[in-house]
Amino acid sequence: MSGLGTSFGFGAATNPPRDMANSDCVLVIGSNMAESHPVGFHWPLVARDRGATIVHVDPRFTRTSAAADVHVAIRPGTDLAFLAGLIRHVLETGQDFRDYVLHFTNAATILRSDYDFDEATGLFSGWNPETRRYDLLPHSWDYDLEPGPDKVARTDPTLQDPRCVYQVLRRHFARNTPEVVASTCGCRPADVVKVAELLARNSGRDRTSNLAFALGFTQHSTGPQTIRAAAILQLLLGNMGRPGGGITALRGHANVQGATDIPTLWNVLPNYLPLPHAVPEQATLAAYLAGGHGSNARRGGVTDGLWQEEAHRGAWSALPHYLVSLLKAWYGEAATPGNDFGYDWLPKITGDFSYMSLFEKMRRKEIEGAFLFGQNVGVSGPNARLERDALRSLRWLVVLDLFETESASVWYADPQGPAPASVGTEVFLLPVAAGTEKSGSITNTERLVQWHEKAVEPPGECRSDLAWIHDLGLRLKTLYAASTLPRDAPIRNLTWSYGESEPDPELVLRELNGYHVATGEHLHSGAELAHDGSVACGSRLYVGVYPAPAANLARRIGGPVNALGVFSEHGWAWPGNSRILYNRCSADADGKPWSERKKLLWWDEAAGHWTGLDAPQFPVTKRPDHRPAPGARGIEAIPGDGAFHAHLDGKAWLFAPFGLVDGPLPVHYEPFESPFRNALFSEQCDPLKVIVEDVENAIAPAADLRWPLVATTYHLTEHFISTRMDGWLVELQPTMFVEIGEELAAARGVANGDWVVVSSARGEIEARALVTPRMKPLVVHGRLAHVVGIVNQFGYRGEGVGDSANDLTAMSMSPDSHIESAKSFTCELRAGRLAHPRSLVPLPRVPEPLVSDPVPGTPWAAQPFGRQRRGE
Amino acid sequence: MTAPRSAPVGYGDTVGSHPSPWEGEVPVLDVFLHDVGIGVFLVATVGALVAPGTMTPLLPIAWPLSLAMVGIDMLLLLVDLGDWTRFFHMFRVFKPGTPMSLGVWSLSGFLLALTGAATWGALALVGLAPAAPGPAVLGLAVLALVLAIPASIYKGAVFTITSQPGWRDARWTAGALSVSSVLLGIAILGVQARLLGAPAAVLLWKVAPALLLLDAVLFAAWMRGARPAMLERLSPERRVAEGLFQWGARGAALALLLLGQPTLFAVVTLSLLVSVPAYVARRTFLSLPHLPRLVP
Amino acid sequence: MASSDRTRELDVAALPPVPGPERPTGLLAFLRQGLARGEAPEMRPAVGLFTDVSLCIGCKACEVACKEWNLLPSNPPEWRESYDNTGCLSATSWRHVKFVEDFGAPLPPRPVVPGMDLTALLAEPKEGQWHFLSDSCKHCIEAPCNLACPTGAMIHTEFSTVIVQPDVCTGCGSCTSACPFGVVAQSSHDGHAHKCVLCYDRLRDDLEPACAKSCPTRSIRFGPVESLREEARARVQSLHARGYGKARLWGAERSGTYSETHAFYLLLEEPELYGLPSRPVNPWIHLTGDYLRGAVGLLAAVALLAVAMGRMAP
Repeated sequence: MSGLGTSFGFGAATNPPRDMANSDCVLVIGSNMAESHPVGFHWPLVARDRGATIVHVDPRFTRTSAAADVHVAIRPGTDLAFLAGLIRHVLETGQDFRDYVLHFTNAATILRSDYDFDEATGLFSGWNPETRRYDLLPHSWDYDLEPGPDKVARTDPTLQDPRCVYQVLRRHFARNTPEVVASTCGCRPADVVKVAELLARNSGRDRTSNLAFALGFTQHSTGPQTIRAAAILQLLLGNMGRPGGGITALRGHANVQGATDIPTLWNVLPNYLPLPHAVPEQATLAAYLAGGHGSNARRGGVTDGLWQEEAHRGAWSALPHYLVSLLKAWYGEAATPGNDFGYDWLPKITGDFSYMSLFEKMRRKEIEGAFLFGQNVGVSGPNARLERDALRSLRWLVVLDLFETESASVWYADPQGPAPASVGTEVFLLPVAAGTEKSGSITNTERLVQWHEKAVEPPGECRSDLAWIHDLGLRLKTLYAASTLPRDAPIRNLTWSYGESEPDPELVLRELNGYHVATGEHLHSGAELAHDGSVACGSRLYVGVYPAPAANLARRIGGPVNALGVFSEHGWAWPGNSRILYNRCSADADGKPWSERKKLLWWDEAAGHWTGLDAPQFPVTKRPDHRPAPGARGIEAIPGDGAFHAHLDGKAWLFAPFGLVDGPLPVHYEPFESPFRNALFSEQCDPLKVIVEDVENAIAPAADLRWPLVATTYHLTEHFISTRMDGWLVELQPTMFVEIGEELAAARGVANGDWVVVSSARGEIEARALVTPRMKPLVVHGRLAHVVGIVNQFGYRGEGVGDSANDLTAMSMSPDSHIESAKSFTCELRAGRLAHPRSLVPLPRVPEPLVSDPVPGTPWAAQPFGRQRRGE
Repeated sequence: MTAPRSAPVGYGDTVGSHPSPWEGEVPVLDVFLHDVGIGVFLVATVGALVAPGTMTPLLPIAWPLSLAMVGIDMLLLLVDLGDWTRFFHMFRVFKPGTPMSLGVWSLSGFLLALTGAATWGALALVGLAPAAPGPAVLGLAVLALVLAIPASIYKGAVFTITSQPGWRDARWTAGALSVSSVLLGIAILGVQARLLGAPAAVLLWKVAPALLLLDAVLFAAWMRGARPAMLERLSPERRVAEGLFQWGARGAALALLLLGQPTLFAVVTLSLLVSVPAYVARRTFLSLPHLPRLVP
Repeated sequence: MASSDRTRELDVAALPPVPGPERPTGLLAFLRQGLARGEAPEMRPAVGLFTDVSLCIGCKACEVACKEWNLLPSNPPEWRESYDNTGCLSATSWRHVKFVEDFGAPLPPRPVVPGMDLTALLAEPKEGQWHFLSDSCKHCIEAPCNLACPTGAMIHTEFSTVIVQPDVCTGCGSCTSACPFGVVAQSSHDGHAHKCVLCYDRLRDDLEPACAKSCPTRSIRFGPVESLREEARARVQSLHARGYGKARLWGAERSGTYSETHAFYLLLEEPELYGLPSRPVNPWIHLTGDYLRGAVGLLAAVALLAVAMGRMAP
């Protein structure tokens, strides 16, 4: 989210997977798309059949590599270096799409003279070695502003100024030559050139390339910066906002985009509104709003800078509308101008409550209880052993799941845990309904909101998550109804009208879509949001999904298909049903499509508005040659070629003047654990190291020979996490295994199928070895780098059991996104089993589905096998 | 240190069919008893038709004996099905192009006719029927004789009309099994005749060498077809041992027939020299699809 | 197959209520049911499956969808030191995705030099390939299993697919022995033969089979077999044009020893790599000969016997 949001404005995938069929080249990097997103992967295959090239850059030769035309194996944790090599090649060979870059990116913008990047250390100007943070006063990463009150950046459209972003980029990436990149990544120098040429030749006026990534980017210490590098590459090639182009941020679950929009994150309100901090600068609503979107207190006392302009220019100037509408949705009649619409009732950030720090707080008994909704942290979280230990430090734990997972059985079934009698945690397992057993909407990778109806009644006492939460809310409201304490006001005043006893998910969608408080009329467009309390809206981006009580657009199915192969009337995509974000970029400065083949939107001079194959993600009547008047505010301040109107200058940011704490441009640092020294800079790893301090969370020093192998973890397509409870899936992948190459196997004396023990600085697990030619050793800085691929879906509960890969991973994270950096760490591998193998007992297989009665209306021949009666 | 290995490239080793479920001793015994039973009937009945004076005295025992053998064979088949009540489904269709269907119908008809003839034989033995079969009984025997032809040859085709290694290529299986069946009939009836002290013993001893030679020719043709699978699945030692045994037994039988007289010892020895190799050959042949391929 | 057919869902409520088959009670009823025969349904256009390995990503969705629809029990978990943990087609696995790792020497080193031949670089082949093939019953036009079945349990349906009617299957094993591809298998659970029925019940409701329905990449395509074959031939041509010189169809054409099959494949390598015979043989081509050779042997023996006895009888 932070990487894409900072570069473009929205933390979301830009093009629907269906549009990948229109690509001329698809670069899948940091993703195993065929295995993790098999349904969406149909579209790259369609593109391939139409002549496109599929490139897969990944440490392993996976099922995605099998479908790709080119596979390049790189060392885990070096995606950024590889992308930097591609960027350098594009810049040095002059293959960037110059017209596009000039109009839609900040390439021409001139930076302040005190901006600097130290090529020896790998640190930017502003670095304070004592605090190990960037001091940004004066903000040397800012644009160089024209004199005057308007704070407009100076530009050089010739791109010759040495301080313009374009030239800064060239210098920044100059050292990422194919040889240097290849030596870092473990590929061949020619591979860098090959991939760069494939992308460059398939980008431009008449051709577009797509870049798809997933957790192979995000779960690294430099995750957001790696995504930034991908953004820079795609911007230079002119692929953003165009059919067949874009960046496909593949989401891990069906509804991860929805869970990000209506967030489960600790530091943002719905739809990316910053959660206020408990600081004097944000004590009142007015003070908070004056700071604007960029006022995030992470900036730590910076009082001057370009970020302040976000309160005035671009889409974020509507923050007051967004927040007040949200407060009205949450607190209803109790939210009045007199009480700041209940601003005081919002929780304020008092410290780090990101995912991993929660478990530290549990271990220190600072948190006494927890709810786990559809989460099995005992297997899926980094340093899962520590997380399970943290769960056992709670007084109470509520797990809502389909099965009794590792997390739910943590008090008695963990083979590494203490005796059950010594665990004081009271665990409540609440049975929930599966996706087919409940109605509601999901928001998928392409921001598409789709409604699904309950197909069958949930068994037994299972209820939907919504029903459980709704019930909990009702009970809490009852408990606090009589309270007069001010601290209980947030609950007393909370609106909670989603149905009598059983909640109606459409009432939730109605609140997300928003309505006029006075009339109850549903909102149609974001322009109706208001800061005077006349409108309630729980999710500004979802305005328009439910424009009338009888028109839930998420329910739409099928509909006409357009020339791009996109069903633009199927479901509803935010924002405003635009299927391709930043689609202004699909036309040139004059509003003409770049080419007939790649046309999406164009300016209809006669009609005086934009038209084409998608809903314009900008004011439909804004002329392409619009120039804002001096002092213009809000969206009006964005020029006619400003495709990225969430940014105050309307440009995509090749150089990010603010938004990320560890640098305005991507820099390759080694992972927190690496067998190699950083060959490019003296800073070994991300300078803003965020590692949970705990004796159980040791980090191996750089180039420590005790753990000489590079490990990465991943899912198999056959399982999610708790699917090991399903015999049909367990038979497909019954066993925990690690994948190693033949060379490493020979060196460690391991044969295919043998037991091996894999250890890291945190612990050790045992697994079976799958020795395969698909894992090749890589040559990094002249040394062999062996990669150990560890399947991370196994645990001690289920019909298929095995040690958990996450018992090896570390609680370390990216400073920007607070996402764990679990995709690369160091390990050692030996043949054999643990000295004391853990006793893992699979659950008994669920009996065969024998049914005594034949299926009506079906002849004997076609009766399902499971319904054959014995002996007949 | 163990040499590394990865999954073998491709499924080249697994091209082909599932191994037939006809595995183990029951199918071997089944084929053997089937051939013995039909052989005994054929030799006795044909003999009674062409040399009634000599051969008719054997019928009262030969027919019930044949019935018993084929009957046991049928019972074994039913047992092998797992659920014998399903057997009647076989009578839903008559598909002469399907060896199993042809066999079930012809064998059932044969058994029905033979039951009539054998009933006379059993009654004649205890003196409740005339010593010589009447026209009705002979009619039934001729009907059984006609049905015995498909009933005899289907058995080999059941194995060759499959996709099983060894079986599918042994084109002469049905011919070899049928000829072997007649030879088996001669050997078994020879023992019976000797025990009864009937002159048929001498006659059978005299005709045996010709059948032994014919059997040897067809046996060679049969094994030639199965040879590729045997090379693939039988160890060289076993191939040599079985070859020596098969041809040695045949040589010994021929020598005995040419040089010896049909004493009790000689006819019993002959029956063993004929039936043991016949059983072993069937056993080896039937096991071919279930044996693992030898590692080259 | 038109897209409207693909997206059609089963409307259970709209189905007319049809009682299930009667359960026989007593021996007579049991026999009557076993020997009864129903009305032959009206013939429908022949349908089949076209499995295109160039689109298969080895996700095994077809395996699970097949088990789910046909209520097939899971097999006891067995790790086979591979991604293929199904092993073979069986009575309880009617789909089987095969995984073949085909890797040779690594790519040659290629330093970057000024003026290097980029076109040659871009045309460089991959370091190896991981092949997937989703195997199932081939639904042969002249099906050895059908020819082998002595009870009529194995039939060609009105869709020209081949199915087993387990209620009249004796479990004799003829079909298992006859199938050249190792498709039909006997169940240890009920003793009957079982195999893919191409979701006969779904076909009767105008739905496509579960495997084709669930295939995310349209690697398994269902449709009228004639148009499928045309589609397949066009795909082979386009793959040849894209440089897959070894692309070929398997099962789409009649050979000297085997009929065409209704489930056929587009392969990128030799069939043996995927465990398919390149020259399948239908054992029935030998039937007449084998019967004749049997008859010749038997009649020769009987004639010899008769002549010798007639001559030598006292």
